[in-house]
Amino acid sequence: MRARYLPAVDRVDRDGEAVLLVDREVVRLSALATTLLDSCPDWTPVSELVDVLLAAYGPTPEGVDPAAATDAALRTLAAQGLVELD
Amino acid sequence: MRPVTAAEPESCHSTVVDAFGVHVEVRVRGDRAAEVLDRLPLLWEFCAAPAGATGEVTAEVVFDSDPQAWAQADADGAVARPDLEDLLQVLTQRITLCAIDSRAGECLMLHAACIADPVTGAAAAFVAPGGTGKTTLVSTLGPGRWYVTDETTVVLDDRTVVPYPKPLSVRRTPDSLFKNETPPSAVGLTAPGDRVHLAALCLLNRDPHHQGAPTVEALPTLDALVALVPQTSHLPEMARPLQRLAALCESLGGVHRITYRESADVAGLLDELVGETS
Repeated sequence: MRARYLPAVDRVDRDGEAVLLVDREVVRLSALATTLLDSCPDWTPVSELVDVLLAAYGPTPEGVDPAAATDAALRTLAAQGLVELD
Repeated sequence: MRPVTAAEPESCHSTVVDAFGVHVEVRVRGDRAAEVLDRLPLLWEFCAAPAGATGEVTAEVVFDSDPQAWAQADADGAVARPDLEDLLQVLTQRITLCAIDSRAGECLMLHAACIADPVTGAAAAFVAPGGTGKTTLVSTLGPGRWYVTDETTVVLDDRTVVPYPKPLSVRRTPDSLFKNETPPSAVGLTAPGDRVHLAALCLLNRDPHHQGAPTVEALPTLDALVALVPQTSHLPEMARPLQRLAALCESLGGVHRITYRESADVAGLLDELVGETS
């Protein structure tokens, strides 16, 4: 699977976190989600995004598969209209 | 508000209201139109359009003793009710919506009450959804200050607030779904006499179970945006809407959430925000 950022109406960043306006909805992103979003300006393989998050935030908690966690986060972003997946 | 014009062939009379700079023409038809027109000048006493003003947008109204006439008008999108008080309340909402739609993309429009200090023009806006205390707050704390609005606070980029001192929609009984339109002067309010500028932006959180003095919580900018955006109108139509809203919040020293039980409890806080009443 690959992911690509979808432009929002507008965006404000503070301290690594972000708020975006998507159509008429406001979306608040954590620092991790903001990093994930900013790491796929063009079509990017999920495996590459997993590496980005591991480098930025360290290993996932015991029992949490980083690929599965990244996949879930991307699907959440996709549901919010922030990324597209293929 | 300019005087009622001469009757048109279909017995339609009109008058013009200034809603934060938008001239809304209210066109009234029906065999009871005069009852509506008689009430409008006092209700909209602080929103008088200049003499000779013409409407930029139009609100159609039908008040008629024939049930079929108003039912048809209602179906056609006009403001039409069998009861005068109901009609006047819905008309206020329609005028507000007409003005909001007319200003889409031009300025920040917050669902907020606003009160200003008559000496400095410094204003505090209190953001809250409908039915959660804005009008009560204005009625309670507005006398002695300038009544800017109880509904829509319009803010320009230089923080100028464009007044909208509309009629107050006051619940007939505390739990009633119905409201009566009330002239602002009837509850001791006065219109702004000079420029008003935004000095404080607050989120109202009325909690009937709250004990003691109001609590004030400073919100980080991102939290403030999440709370404010749903209480704006036509925000996405503006250029860089979130960045402008964030800049406004931060230029005011942040946004504060006020949790309180009774409007009178907020008096001391309002004194701090815009100055004590004289």
